[in-house]
Amino acid sequence: MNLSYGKISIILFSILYALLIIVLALLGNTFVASGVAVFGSLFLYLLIAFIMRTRDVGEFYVAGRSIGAIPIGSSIASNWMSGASFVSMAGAIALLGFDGLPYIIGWTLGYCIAAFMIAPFIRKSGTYTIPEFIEVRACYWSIARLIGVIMLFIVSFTYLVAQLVATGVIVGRFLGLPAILGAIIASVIVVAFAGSGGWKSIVWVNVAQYWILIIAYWCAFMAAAYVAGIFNPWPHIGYGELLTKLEAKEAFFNLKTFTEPFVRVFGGGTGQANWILSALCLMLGTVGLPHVLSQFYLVKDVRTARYGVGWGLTFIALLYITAPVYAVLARSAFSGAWGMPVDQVINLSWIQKWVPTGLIKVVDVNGDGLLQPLELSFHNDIVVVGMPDMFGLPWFFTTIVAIGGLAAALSTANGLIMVMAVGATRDIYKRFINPNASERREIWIGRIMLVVLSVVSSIFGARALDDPTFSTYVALLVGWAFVFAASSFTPIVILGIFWKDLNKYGMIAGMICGMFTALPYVLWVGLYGAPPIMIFGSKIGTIAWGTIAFLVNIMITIAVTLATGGRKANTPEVLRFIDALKTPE
Amino acid sequence: MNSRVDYIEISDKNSSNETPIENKTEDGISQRYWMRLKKITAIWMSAWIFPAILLHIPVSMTSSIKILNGIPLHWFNAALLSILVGVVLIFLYALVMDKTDKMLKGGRNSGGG
Repeated sequence: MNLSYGKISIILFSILYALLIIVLALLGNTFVASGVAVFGSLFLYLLIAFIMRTRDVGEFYVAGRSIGAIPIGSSIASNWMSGASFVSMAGAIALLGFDGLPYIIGWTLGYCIAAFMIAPFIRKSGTYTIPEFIEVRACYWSIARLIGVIMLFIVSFTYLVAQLVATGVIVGRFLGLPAILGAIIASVIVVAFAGSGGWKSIVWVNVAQYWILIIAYWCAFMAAAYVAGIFNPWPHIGYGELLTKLEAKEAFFNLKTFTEPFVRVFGGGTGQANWILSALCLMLGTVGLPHVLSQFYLVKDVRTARYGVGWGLTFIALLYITAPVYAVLARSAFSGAWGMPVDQVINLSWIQKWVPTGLIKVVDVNGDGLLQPLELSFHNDIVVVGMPDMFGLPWFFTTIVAIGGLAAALSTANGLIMVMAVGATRDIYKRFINPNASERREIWIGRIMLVVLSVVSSIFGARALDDPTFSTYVALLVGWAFVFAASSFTPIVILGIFWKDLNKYGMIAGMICGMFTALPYVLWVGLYGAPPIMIFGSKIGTIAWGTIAFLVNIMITIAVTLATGGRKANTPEVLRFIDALKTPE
Repeated sequence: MNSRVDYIEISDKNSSNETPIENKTEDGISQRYWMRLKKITAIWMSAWIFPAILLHIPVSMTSSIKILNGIPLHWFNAALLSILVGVVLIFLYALVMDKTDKMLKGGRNSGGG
């Protein structure tokens, strides 16, 4: 099947898909129309994956290194923005106010580090995976690659389980299906995407999923912004009056105001130093995550890598600059109910709809018959999934949000499962088990790995959906993935590119010391609830601690490298590899 | 050393100068390129410190400044301005590196700088 035929198929399918939804909606069957819309989007992704199928190992592993700047930007963005970013981030900001904004700058400005210090060089290295890059840089020391693969699996697998849980929840909330069924469907679909053409299929599915998720996010937002009257002249800069009213109401009820800085807990810490160090850790962790780094291998050339990251951040920014305004809108909607008689509040249509899901709770604690702010509690997810109802938008906005949320969760799961499959195939099977495997065999092993990973992650996903304690651990691990990435991979990758003297002894010592700085603190403070360390009068939480571990890694790496002969410990082959990274294309 | 063999077996389709084990440097130009690249990276990373850290230090002052009909400046800086500055920085970096690459290509062709 050639590409033009493929494009025609996608266009025809899209037209039929839209027509069917419109006809069903006009016939008044909104539930069926919603179901067709949600599941139809899945068929669209499957169609794209099928059209992009391949048997070429280079296309399977790195999409033939052929992707342009705007497509890779879209793919970077959708791969990055998970179901949690789509559904929960605005809610987290609605709860934490200014103290939640490290999520916004932390999960965006890391891409600057990627553009300036990592992406072009990773692309130039000619390697296929980050563990492979680490092995080459560590003088072809296989143990370094093995450590890299183990780290990749720990981080990516936890993340994947979280995505399956998110997909299950989204399917459950919007379609009324059991969440476990949703998680299983998601894992099967992701295997179909990845198995058909590896990264070549995944990257184009990701492109489609990005545009669907961002349109969905913005549709509900713009409509709610219009109803709220914040087009003054544009919602992102026009919500000043709404925010002033909200904060006046908060002050009236003796609450800490929404934008008041450093009054709420972030990552187990408080204060300005915690805020800044947490944001830095999220930035440093972002560029050390394997599924983020893997995208830089897929581009045409070094120049495309630079622009691709620029487009990636632009596309990510479209969601991240919108989330804080979403939060203001939602909090304003909640504040509208404060002070109202509880009897009236529970009869509001959006409260009636969402109370049974447990995402909103209304309890008249003091029994005065009036709703106090703390008597209306809400879950993070309600901000985005409930926005259409809060502002009285038509039914199809809820469906659009569901399609977007599903796209966000699947697009991240795509990348994660692919990174692990490539790691298992190229970094384990091809490297240690069967170095002479044919291309055809490699691809089949990759597909088998996808199925195995899918089954195992589904089991863990189902367990997380079934057991709230297990689910809490998964969520904590996802948060800490940034701490572990910042304290292990990021310093090594950056120093490996920019410091020719770095040798394998320094690399391994740095990674181990970084992890041993991060892990005990995370367990001690995060799990056992020990009091956090104070720095500059701030309580340093688990996420902020990742920046400290990053610095420890850097210092130990430099010290050990210098103590073990620096450049002299590197082979001429490795020195040539580093020189090749530094030459113009 | 299986990995080394791989690099030769699976060559890059789009770029002819990326095989890691081949030394393709033209010492003079490469050294100048690398020095320039390091300088550009240092400048851009210094600029990155502004949206990533510096902008968020004077919060006690910026939180009392309201703009755009009531948005506190410290909130606006973190929720919007920092990210926009980050986007601009990356594209400026890409443009400057384009210029540097072209200059070096010219240098290679003419044998000069």
